[in-house]
Order: sequence, then structure tokens, then C-alpha cells
Amino acid sequence: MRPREMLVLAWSNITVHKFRSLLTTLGIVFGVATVITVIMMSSSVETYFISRFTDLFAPDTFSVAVGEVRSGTGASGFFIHQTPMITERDLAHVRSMPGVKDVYASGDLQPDVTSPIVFRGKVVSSGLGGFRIVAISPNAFTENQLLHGRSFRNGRETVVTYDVARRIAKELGNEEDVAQVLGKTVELNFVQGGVRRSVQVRIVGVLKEIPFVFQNAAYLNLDDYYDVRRTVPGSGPVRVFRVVGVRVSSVTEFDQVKSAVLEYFKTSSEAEKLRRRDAPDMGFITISAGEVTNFIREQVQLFASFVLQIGSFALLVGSIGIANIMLVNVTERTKEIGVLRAIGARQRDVLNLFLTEAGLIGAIGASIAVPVGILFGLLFLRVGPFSGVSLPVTIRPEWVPLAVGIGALVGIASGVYPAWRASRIDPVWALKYE
Amino acid sequence: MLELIDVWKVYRTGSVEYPALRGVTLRIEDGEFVAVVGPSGSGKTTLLNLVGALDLPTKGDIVLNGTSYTSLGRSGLNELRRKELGFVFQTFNLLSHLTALENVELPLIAAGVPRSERRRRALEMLARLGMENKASKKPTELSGGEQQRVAIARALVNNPSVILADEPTGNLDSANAKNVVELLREINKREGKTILLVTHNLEIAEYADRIVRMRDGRVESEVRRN
Ligand SMILES: Nc1ncnc2c1ncn2[C@@H]1O[C@H](COP(=O)(O)OP(=O)(O)OP(=O)(O)O)[C@@H](O)[C@H]1O
Ligand SMILES: [Mg+2]
Repeated sequence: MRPREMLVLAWSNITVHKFRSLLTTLGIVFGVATVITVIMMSSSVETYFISRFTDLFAPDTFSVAVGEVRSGTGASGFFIHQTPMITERDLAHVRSMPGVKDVYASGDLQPDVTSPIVFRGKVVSSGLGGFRIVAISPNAFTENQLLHGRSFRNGRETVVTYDVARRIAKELGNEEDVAQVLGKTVELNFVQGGVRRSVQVRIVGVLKEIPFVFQNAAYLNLDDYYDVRRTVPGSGPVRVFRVVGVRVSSVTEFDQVKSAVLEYFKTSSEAEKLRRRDAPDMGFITISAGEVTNFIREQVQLFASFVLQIGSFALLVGSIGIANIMLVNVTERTKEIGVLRAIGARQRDVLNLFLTEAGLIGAIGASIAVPVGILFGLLFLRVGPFSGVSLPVTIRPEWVPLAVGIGALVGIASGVYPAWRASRIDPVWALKYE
Repeated sequence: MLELIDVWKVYRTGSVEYPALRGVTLRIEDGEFVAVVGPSGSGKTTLLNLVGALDLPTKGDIVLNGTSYTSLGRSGLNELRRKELGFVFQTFNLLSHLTALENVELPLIAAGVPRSERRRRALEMLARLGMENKASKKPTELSGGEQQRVAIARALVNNPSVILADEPTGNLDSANAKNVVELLREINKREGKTILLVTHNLEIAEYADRIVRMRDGRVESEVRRN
């Protein structure tokens, strides 16, 4: 029999039991739709985060810190525990290294738990995700990172994150107009050197939005507020910073400079002396746009592969469903198989006929699944946790043939055993079957 | 010419052997119309299935126009069914989800005949049996007699040399039964097709050139008419 005729015959068989065939495809629909939804979700989220982060982590900048080094986590150092150990002398040394344009440092202040930031007598920092007050060099912020205003120039000024600015703007009557917070004075409460401090500072800059990360933070001038010290072996107590940020003169030398700086820290820095004495389990970690990108990609893919496993499980269930229905089909159509054989159909024809039918069921399921999957993908992007941000939507035309191909393959694979059974039926016996 | 030479068929169910045919020898000339009669269980259907190449004899051989069945492989037997043999069944056995026309097309599909030629030949065959206006009807929309006509069209469409009919009138009332057997007789006369017809009905058997009576898997008697 020719493939075309196979298809026509298989199709007419499927339409005999429309409802049953539709139910049979459900597993495939669910499996393929899940896969499509996940692909849509993860590619949108990934592109979005990467574009946002590479915007914030300029390609000419990397940071070094002492933190917990876990094997195989790669760039995940981004989020792991870090401890202040980088000294002024280390900063000065790095600043003088060839290829280094600029260096900045930062460390954390311990915010007051109940009212870290107060505006006009009202606490405007919501507790969700914690609140951070960071002391940082004024040159840390570039124009790229600032949505409004500029960096601070002295201890009476502050830069706040987008979310903090939004909360203050809400107090001012219009949450959307974050620019109006510039020039307003806020109260920051934190503990410095064991002493409770409360400072009134003027907002001079608002950072761009970074969804889900470090949302609630205010930044203060490093030299005015930061005073964490450690005693370096062989000399007195010196200020230690958690992170050193390094800007390179030329992006083409980025990797060289980065490894030279890392090499310095690992061998002859004061931070290394401190680390060996105080935190022998920790190591030097670097953070850069590339590493952040990889980290995001890793996380998104971890999530995606988890959901894809659910999808493949659904496909497996779908495939068992098809196999089951095909076995029922073979039994129901025993007589028909006998007739087909009597009029000259070969065993191979019967085999192919049932395989075609199973493949067609799979393909139909998959073609239903494509719009369903896209719909759920859109739903996730529009009303899910990302509804606030306009994520780029990825829909590719090649999903259709790909999904239909996978559906057909799953169908055919499920049909192998039933079709083989059908082809082995003795025609004489089949013709007697009632 | 169709020859059955000492044909045995032994069915085995577990350890029990049952010889359904016990040495049947028959010679059927081209264009002959032979009716096979005999009590239930005498081996008529078994005989027809063997001639229809759906099964092979346990012993003995069947030779159609010089071709020995036992020397043919599986694909040879398939080809024989596709080209030389046409089946008509008691219960019509039309595929219920296909139209009359599509049912008649089936053997041509199996033979790989291109679509347009297939359509033409199937329609022509239906027309010859006076069924052209029922071409697009499903089997459930046809009477028993009409269904059997479609089934006969299906058996004829491949232009086989032998038609095998197992009680083709068994499920029809006497008027329709008469119609069907007259149709077969006409096909036999006009087109020179060899017909092997199994029946319980002696009136139907009267249409044949020869009546073969079977009992206990053997040919009990043969009556040549006219
Ligand atoms: N697959 C089989 N296994 C075992 N015995 C069988 C099988 N098929 C047929 N028989 C036996 O072979 C004998 C002949 O069967 P067959 O179907 O040829 O009879 P028949 O003459 O066509 O009868 P009827 O007039 O009732 O159709 C019967 O006794 C039957 O029980
Ligand atoms: Mg019988």
C-alpha cells in the first residue's frame, strides 16, 4: 500500500471513534504543550534577565570577593555568602595594575530590622526579601545603572533602588513618577561598629529596576560610613571590604586583567593572609557580566529541565494511552484485519496501517498541543509572576513541525507492539472472529 | 485450471488433532461454477480458505493455473490473493467506516493501483452491478442484498480468475439470495470466471455446473449438471 492511502485509511479509522481518539491524544497534548510552555517561559525569562543584567554589569567590569567556594557552582558565587577581607592596600595595588582603569569597593552596613528606611515618619521598606544598606565607593555607579539622577558625592547623599524609590513616590502621591523622589530626604537606620545610627540623607540617584534581586537597598558613601576592620598579620587593624569592583581600560584585555587580578589576590594580597587565617574554607570568587549571564542561564535551564521531565513523563503516559487504545483497536478490528488480508493486503500493510494510525493520533495530539502550549506560555508571561514586566515573547514557527514530528514518533513508538500483534493475526481465524 | 491434490488439513488444539479435511482431490476447469454442499462441520469453509491461499494444506497441494501453492512463499500467496482470487463472505464483511466505493477500491489500494485509475475501475464495477447510485453510501445505509453486491464488486474489481464465495446468500432473504446467485451465475457465464460457492441451500446449488457434496472432510459425491 502507498503511504498516502495508508494515511487516508488511518484517518477514516480515527474519525470513526472521534471522542475516543481525542481522549487518547490527551497525554500527548499535555506533554507537548508542557514542553512548548516551558520553552517559551524559559527563553523569555532568560533573554529578559540576561539583557537586564548585562546592562547593569557592564562588560568592562568584574568584582572579586572572598566567599564560600562550592565545587561545580561556577558563577553561582554571585549569591553565596561572602565575607569582608579586601584591604585598602589591596585596592591600591589593584588600582596600579596594568590594564586597570578604575577600582571601587563596597561593604554592608547592618540595617535596623524594623525601620531601616523612614520617609516622613513612615517606614517605606517592606520586609519582603530583606533590606540592605550598602556602603560603596561613589564611582561604583555608572550612568548605565542609574535610572534617574547621579551618584552621591558625600555622606549627606544617598542612592536608592527602584523599588525603594517607588515606595517613596507612592507616599508622594504618584507611584509611577519615581523621578520626584530626587532631592527628598530620608532617614536611614543602621548599626555601625556596635552603635545605633540614624542619618538623614538626600536622595540624589535612583537605580534601574532589577526584578527579584536586591530590591530593597539604599547606598551610602563608603568613606563616611564604612568602618569594618581586621588585624592583618604583621600590621595593625585595617578597613576590610567585601567586594572590590574593577573596571578595565580595554574590554579586549578583560580576561587577562581578570586573571592577573585574581592571581594577585590568591598569592600576595593581604586578603589572602586574612583568608588563610580567618576563613580557610573560603576562596576568591569573581563576578562579571559573563558569569552572571551564565548563572542566569544555569538557573533557568535547571528549572526548565525539571519541568521538561514532567513533560516527558506526560509523553510517556500519553504513549501508554495510545498503546492501550491501539490494542483495543486491534482486537475490535480483528475481522477487518482478516478481510484486508483476504483481499491481498500483506502483513506489512497491516503493520503499517496500524503504525500510521498511531502516528497520526500522536501527530494530531501534538498539533493540538502547539496552540495550547503557546496559550499557557502567554498566560504565564502575562498574568504569572512576570506580569509586571513586559517580557519578550518567543514563538517560533519551527515548533509546529518539530512538535508534530515528536508527536508522530511517540505515536509510532507506542503503536509498534499493537501493530505487530495485528500483523501476526491469522487471517483464517480473524475471518471467523465475531 | 484449479486442482486440489489429496488435500489434508489437520487442526491442532493443544494436544488434540482434528483432521478437518481428509484427502480432498478435485479438478475444477476454468470458467466452471462449482457448488460445495454438505453438513455443518464437513470442512467446506476450510476447503475454501485453503483454495483462497489464506492457509496452507497440512498435506497435499493446490495448483492454480500451473502454480503450486505449497511452492509459493508468503509473498507469493499474498500476490495470488491480490491478483487471482476474489472473496465473497456470508456476512458481507464490508469495512463499516468506508463508503461502498471505497470498499470496492480496497483491493486496488492493496495492489498499489494509482488513485484515479482506482476510482474509475471501482465505479465501473459498481455500475456493472447496478450500484453506481449507492457509491457514496456507507454499508449501514445499504440493504443486505445491496451490501452483498458491493462485496461482489469488491471481489471482482481486481479481475481475478477465481471467485470464492462462502455462503454468500446465507444472510439474505430468498428473493435477494436468488438475485445474488443469479448475478454470480451471470458473471461466471459472461466473464468466464471460475466460481467456487459454498451453500447449505440446494436451490442455490442448482445454479452451479457441478455440485460437490462433502462429509467428514471428504468429497462424498459429485453431481455434474447439464
Ligand atoms: N481453527 C480450528 N481449530 C480447530 N478445529 C477447527 C478449526 N477450524 C475449523 N475446525 C473444525 O474443522 C471442521 C470443519 O470446519 P469448517 O469451518 O470447514 O466447517 P464447515 O463445513 O464450513 O461448516 P459450516 O457449514 O457450519 O460453516 C469443524 O469440525 C471445525 O470444528
Ligand atoms: Mg463454513
